[in-house]
This record gives sequence, structure tokens and C-alpha cells, in this order.
Amino acid sequence: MIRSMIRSTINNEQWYKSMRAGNVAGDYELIESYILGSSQASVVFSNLGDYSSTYKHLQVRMVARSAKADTFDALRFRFNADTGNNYARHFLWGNGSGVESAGAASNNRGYLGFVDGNNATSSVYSPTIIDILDPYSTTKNKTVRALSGIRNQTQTYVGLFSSLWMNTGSVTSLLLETDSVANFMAGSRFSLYGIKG
Amino acid sequence: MSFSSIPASFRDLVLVVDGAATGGVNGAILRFNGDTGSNYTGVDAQGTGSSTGSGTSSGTSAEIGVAGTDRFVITSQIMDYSATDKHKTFLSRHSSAGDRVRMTASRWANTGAINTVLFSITGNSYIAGTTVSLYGIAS
Repeated sequence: MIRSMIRSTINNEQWYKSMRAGNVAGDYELIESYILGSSQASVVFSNLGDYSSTYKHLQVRMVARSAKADTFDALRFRFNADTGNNYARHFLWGNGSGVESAGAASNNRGYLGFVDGNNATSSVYSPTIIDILDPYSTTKNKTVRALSGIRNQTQTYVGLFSSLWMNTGSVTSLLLETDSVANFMAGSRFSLYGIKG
Repeated sequence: MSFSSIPASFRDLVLVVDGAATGGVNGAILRFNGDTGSNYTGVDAQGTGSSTGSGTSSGTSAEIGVAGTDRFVITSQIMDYSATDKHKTFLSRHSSAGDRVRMTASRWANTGAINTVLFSITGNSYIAGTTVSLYGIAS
């Protein structure tokens, strides 16, 4: 549940309550969360079907670091363990000196963002926020969007990602893993929230 | 505008600013826990309607957007703000129909829990009616 903790408005030094950004208490709820106590190859939210009658959309909020011996890794996903070439993607990102965009079709996974590699500055975990839109529809292909960034000693990216899963089936599971297939490091955190419709 | 004594009971924080500045186009910045050291870095990407650009920053505050006389909205997602084993990372979106759209990834190189968030506009003031709101995401 999103809760407004501190609220203020500047208006000739009068203070007012905020508008809660359009959210009504109870419309946005924590479903489950993983904070890795040790490195792990992937994270799977495997019971998404259980929430189909409660939520319209899902959001994953995460910070992650990869065991890859590099400063950079990427984040990818699959729905319902589908390893077919049923995913397409686009991204728009800034790399610190310019803006780039590209895409690809007919891949066997989708992409969602950046992950610090294990040669990155210590204690740094890349942030990513993923929105899964209408995951329980049985008439639509599934679309996912994400905002992600990485800012360590050498890697400087911030980007928007969109992925398409060309399947009209209801989403029952979400697999998150690094593109290098290296483990997520201990301390990586993955939280799943549900948004009511 | 400073939010202080922030409890550690949430997972993430979301700062939402809706307003404008009294003049100029200057940085809209964040600082945590009163830290004025050179511990903030960032990377941004933006489009102005006629051009795109990306840059990096490092300094004594984190620039999460720019504030001018055109009304803007900035949303900053401050992740794992109470963790004591991580640098603090935050993702910001800036939208101003009269100026630009921009996204920023920032890092505060400190593993301490955030208990104070300062939002400010460099070299200018907010106009009356500007709102600065801080939300907590359930843990």
C-alpha cells in the first residue's frame, strides 16, 4: 500500500495536505518481496496467477547487482517460462554523451534494464522499476515498460525499456535474470506490487 | 524544502514536485542527511522538442531535473532508502510541457539510511503554490 508519510504545500507559508498523487489507500499493495541473502541465479515470481482476481497491473521495484566480473550487466525476463522467439523490445537511453534508441524482434526473452556488475564500485546496486500492464488479459499480447539506470565508476546509462510478449495468455510467472546469466548478488532486492483496476 | 525525521519503516520513497521557479532555468536538486560533500553522481537523458542530449554529473548535490518559470513535475523514486549496505540510487522523471522531458539516474555514495531529504532549486525560489510531497512505498 502506498502511504503518504509527510505532506506539504508551499503557498505563502500555509501548509496543506497533498493530493496523494491520485492513489487511493489500498489500491497499490505489496504482494511479495525477495532480498537475497546469498547470490542466486534468478528470481521467479511463480504464483502470479493467484492475484488475477485482485489486481489489474503489476509493478516490480528492484535494485540489483550481478556476479559478472565486469562493471555492467543487463536485466532480462521471461513470462510463463516461455523460451520461444516470442519477445520484442525497444529502448531509449542516454549514455552520458548522447541519446540512443534501438529495438529487436523475435527474441527468446525481453529486456528491462541495467545491472551493476561485480567490478562496479562496492555497495552499488542498479535501480529498475518495471510496470506489467494488463498481465491477466486473455485477449491482448503483454506489454512491459521499465525505467532503469546505472551510475558506477565507468558505466553511465539511464533508459526507458519496453518489451512485448506475443502471447494473449494470462501471465502466471515472471523470471528475472541477468543477461550474462551470472548470479544476482546478495543484497539484490525484488519487490512485487499489485495495482487494482 | 526539507523532510526530516523520516522513519525507516518503508521500502522506497517517492518525491513528487509540482510547481515552477521564480526565474531562470536552473537545477532542481536533492541532498540527503545534510551531506554537502561531493558524493552525488548522475546521468541524464532529455529531449526539448527539437533536440536530445545526455550528460553526467558529479558534485555536492544530485540534479533530478531543471526548474524554470514553465510549470514542471518531477517524480523521484528513491530506492532502498533505509538500507545500510547500499549506496542510495534514485530514478527521476522530469516533465515540463514548455521546456523538456528528462530522466535521470543518480547515486548518493553513502551506505547510511536516509533520514532527511532536501529539495531545492539552485539560484531561485519556488513560486507560491508549488507542492513538494514525499510518499512511502510499503515494505
